[in-house]
Amino acid sequence: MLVDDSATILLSISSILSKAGYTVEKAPNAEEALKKFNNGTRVDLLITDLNMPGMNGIELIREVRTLPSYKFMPILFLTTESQQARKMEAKAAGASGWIVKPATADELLNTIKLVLR
Amino acid sequence: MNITPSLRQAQVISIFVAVLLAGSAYVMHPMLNYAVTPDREITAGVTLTLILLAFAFRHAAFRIFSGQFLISQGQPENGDVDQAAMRLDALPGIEREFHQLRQFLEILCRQLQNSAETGDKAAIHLATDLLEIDKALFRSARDTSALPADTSGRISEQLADALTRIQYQDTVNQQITNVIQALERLDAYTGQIAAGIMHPEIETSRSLKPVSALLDELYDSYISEQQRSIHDASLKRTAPSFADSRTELY
Repeated sequence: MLVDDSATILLSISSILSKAGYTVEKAPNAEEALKKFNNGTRVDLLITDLNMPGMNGIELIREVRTLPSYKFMPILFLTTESQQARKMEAKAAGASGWIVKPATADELLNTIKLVLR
Repeated sequence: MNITPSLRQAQVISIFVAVLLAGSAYVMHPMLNYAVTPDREITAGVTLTLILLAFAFRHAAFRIFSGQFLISQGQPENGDVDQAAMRLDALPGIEREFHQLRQFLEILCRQLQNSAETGDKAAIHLATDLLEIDKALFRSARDTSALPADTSGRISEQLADALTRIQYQDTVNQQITNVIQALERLDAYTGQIAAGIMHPEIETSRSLKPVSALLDELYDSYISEQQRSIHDASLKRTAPSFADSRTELY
């Protein structure tokens, strides 16, 4: 699942992932993503932005980690933020990795392969 | 400072009102002495209060008759100018200037918002077009031999690269949003300064936070290292260095 408030990011990242053979479920905000999780959408990997209006990415993964089926699902942050303190906060909340935007197709796909292994 | 004719008229009228009130106080003095109280000290106090009230009315009358801000910079024209009254009279002018400054900030915010939205729409159109070209290229490579396989592969890679670069639009958009939010905070701050000047008697208007606190808030709102380093460079201070790892796994 790809969560980002930017339509441009949703379009460009989902096209990279689709081309690589992944099925992408898109959500324009954290609240929408949580709804999809609660509605039983099967998700193998969550890629989320950090700074979003309403619930931010860290709050989203805290919520997702409370769901029994997603305690160990890989979660990646894809964000313009690169501050160490924020990365530590994300790690403590349960993130599996961090990618700084803009990410190349190689950076993105290699990281996804590593976390899904 | 130069006083315009209408301001001088206002001064004359206000002095006339003050003299009238002071005269009334003087006339009332024996009446008060007789009718209200036989105590001379109290009567004198009442008379003094009336005279002070007359001067207060003189200020009020001056402000009413002088209308708006009519003071311009320059050398004094004559010596009988009431400086304090001029400052009081200048306040509506300052208020108007603050109001226009806040409008100016609002215009900047709206223009930036419009730029961000326009850029976003353009980026979405561009991404959609690139995806369509990529699909067409894929179909062409599959169904025809119009393009050699290595050529179509190279074009496809370039399209993927272009799609990656479109992500910069999101970064720019977030930075514009940051600037808009900072301008909104500056607008609120300007409003507080205006309130402080217009109503110095109100406690809340005096509790203005220092500009350094505004700068700290701005720093905290940044979403990228690039924004922080620009901020630090502008203030000529050394930024803490971070390892620039674009990808990290935990």
